[in-house]
Amino acid sequence: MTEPTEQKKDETVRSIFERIERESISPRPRWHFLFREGVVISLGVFAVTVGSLAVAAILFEMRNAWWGFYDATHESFLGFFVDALPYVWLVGFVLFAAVAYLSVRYTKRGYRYPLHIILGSSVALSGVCGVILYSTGFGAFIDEDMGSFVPLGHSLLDRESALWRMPQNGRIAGIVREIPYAEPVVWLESIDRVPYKIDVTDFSLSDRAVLRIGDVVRVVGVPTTTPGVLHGCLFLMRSDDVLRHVHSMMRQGETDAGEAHTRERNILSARSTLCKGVRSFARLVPNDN
Amino acid sequence: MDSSLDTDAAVVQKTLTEKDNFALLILRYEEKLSRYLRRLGVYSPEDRQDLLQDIFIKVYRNLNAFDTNLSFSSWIYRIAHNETMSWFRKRSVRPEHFMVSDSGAVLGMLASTDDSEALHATQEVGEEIQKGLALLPEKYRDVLTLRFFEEKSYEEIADILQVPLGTVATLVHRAKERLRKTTASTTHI
Repeated sequence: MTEPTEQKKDETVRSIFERIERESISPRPRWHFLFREGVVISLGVFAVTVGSLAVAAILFEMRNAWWGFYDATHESFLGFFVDALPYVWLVGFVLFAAVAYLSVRYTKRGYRYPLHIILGSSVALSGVCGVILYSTGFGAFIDEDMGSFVPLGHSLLDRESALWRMPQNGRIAGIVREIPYAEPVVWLESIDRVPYKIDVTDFSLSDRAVLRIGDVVRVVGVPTTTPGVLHGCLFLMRSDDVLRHVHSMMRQGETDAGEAHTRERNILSARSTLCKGVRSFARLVPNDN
Repeated sequence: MDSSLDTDAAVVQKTLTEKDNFALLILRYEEKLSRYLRRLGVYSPEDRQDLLQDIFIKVYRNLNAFDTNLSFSSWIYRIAHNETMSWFRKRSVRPEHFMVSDSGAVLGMLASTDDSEALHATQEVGEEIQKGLALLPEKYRDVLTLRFFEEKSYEEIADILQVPLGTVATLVHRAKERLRKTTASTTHI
């Protein structure tokens, strides 16, 4: 027999009510569920926010990596690409996209939406917010300042600084401090605030004239036997260079700092045979007539 | 006013102020849920009774979580489904066979290519389908049970199993395909 009798139904009702009385069971208050829903939604908003920060930092790192001069620091483009990828931010982005998905999925009606819609929406939202953050100039702040609190995180600035404080390998970055007219040298103050003398004998006078005191430059050169002296082969400059963030602090009080930001100049290349073995030189040779 | 004429949602509201109204919800759903539990594989009447009590207690505790945009039926079936799955997990058992004593017409509809087309099924075909159902993965058995034995709509199944509507359609389609394959070797469906 499959149909419960009326008596059996009454028994069920009675047993349930007895248990409710015995265990003093009462409906959980509404705020309990509202709070839980609120926590889940907040978690989703937090995840999308972190995702946006990650996108802004990724954009900042990818935009400011020196793609055009990868061969100044790396053997191959692949090697540069592998080093340039902001892994921590990428992992963070994927992780928080998953958190956003789960938090939406566990809202009251989140199950109604398929995975690709929820995931796509959270990624798109993070992407749009990340682009807005990046375009309003927060990319550097997120990457450098907030990134310092991220475990295993190395900002673009950290990586670039590490790459360009290697005079023994022919790479140094710093601020142009002095351009004496009497001799073919440029005095540079490195990231570590150490003065370096760059031999610019290979540069033409017109090339040298492009350099200004206060410029943030990266120099590719050949180490010499004299400590603190580098034979300059290539000057790399960009007005939006990330290393300017370091130097902007060092330059505080200088009147021409603003001017340095507005000037757009790119490359000075040496023409010396001494520089022939230096990477990046080969690509610049075609300009040398 | 006679509460027996109220909608489930109205009874829920009344229960929140006067718990005796909960009896009406128990009376409305006890039989349906008992049948559903049996279809899910809870064969012992005692186990079913215990489980039903747990389900109704859980419903009572969570009355304030009931979303009025959802049908109460879907909500209570969802709780019943989840509680039953937990019950199986706690006992580390799964039903080893799928016992359905429903009419052959239901089994025939399940075997048809079109949901609305009720195929006349012989007792022999019914038995084959029962065997085939027992071999299906849980997710397929769940949707087939809800669709063809509980006669729930796709929307209701989506709300009960908490999956997107498209997933329900896919699961039903695949489940039927799988069932057809497993039974095709022995019979013509």
